[in-house]
Amino acid sequence: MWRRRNLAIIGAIGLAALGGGLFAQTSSRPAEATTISSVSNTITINAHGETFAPPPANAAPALTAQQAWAQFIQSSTVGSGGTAIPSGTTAQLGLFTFAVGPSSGCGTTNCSNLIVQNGTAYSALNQLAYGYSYPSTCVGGNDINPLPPTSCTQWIFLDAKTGQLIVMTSQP
Amino acid sequence: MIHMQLSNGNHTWCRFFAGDTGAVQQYDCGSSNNDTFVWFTIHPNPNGNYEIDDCGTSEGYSNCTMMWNNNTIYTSALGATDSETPLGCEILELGSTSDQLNVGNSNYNVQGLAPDGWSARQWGDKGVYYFDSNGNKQPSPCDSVYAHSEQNSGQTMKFSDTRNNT
Repeated sequence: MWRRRNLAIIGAIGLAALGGGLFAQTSSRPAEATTISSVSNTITINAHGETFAPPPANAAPALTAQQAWAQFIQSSTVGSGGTAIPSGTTAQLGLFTFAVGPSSGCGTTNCSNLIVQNGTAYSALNQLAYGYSYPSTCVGGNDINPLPPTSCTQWIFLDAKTGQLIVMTSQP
Repeated sequence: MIHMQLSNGNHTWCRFFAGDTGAVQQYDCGSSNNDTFVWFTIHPNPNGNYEIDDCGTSEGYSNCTMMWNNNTIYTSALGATDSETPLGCEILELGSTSDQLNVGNSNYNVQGLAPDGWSARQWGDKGVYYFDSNGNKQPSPCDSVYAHSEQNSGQTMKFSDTRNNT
């Protein structure tokens, strides 16, 4: 895998930047049935407060998992792959939360599109969402400190009301 | 921008950021048009963390949204502007020789904040390369495919994929 990861890079400058770099995902899914359910236990996507929690018992999403996926495919992607949820993908209904960070970092405008609660700024806070997940391979690190490929789970979170993408991410 | 290939074979272009150990967060997929400029900043904020802001497509940095504010400031930071592809030369990058992908423009250079103020920096280790399984940098056979250049000592940069020249 590493030998196939080629990087076109214009090099380093003295600019402060996060050292994380990129994860690149490549699909390695086996062919298996799609499952649709509700989240039963809170799933931690990353250590900084990206979680997917069980929905309330009376949750009534405006769209089904299939409808939300189809809306996303039709509105945000290009291709002829069809609007069916791909086989091997697990679709779950839950409450998605993404903590951007401490609200002490908020200035005059930079949190106006965020939810601020109890000292934390969120781009999504207990948002009713469908999470579509499948096994994948992630390449991490950056061009200074590359990391070997690892198994991970690819997630696509869609608003359960509109089908709009909230975020795509990976879970180690 | 990042190009995402979905498991159903469809694809899309998304904005993205990556904090912490590098987990990419893709968002706003499928909404950017050709020749769209997106402004963003990475800077320390008063709470002692790095902040990544998406400042939208209206020129400048006056109306930004905080996307990430979870990493403490490093004692020895560095920066890079790069274009990456997994899977070797198989993936097309944006741009052609006559219509290249721009990083920075004449009004808003790519800049770093040095002790003596904001300034553009001379690029250092530029080139097309890959890392082998031991993490060592190696010359890349993609050098004839991916093209890059810098202008005015790195104030702006351009990327392109020569396969888009047709």
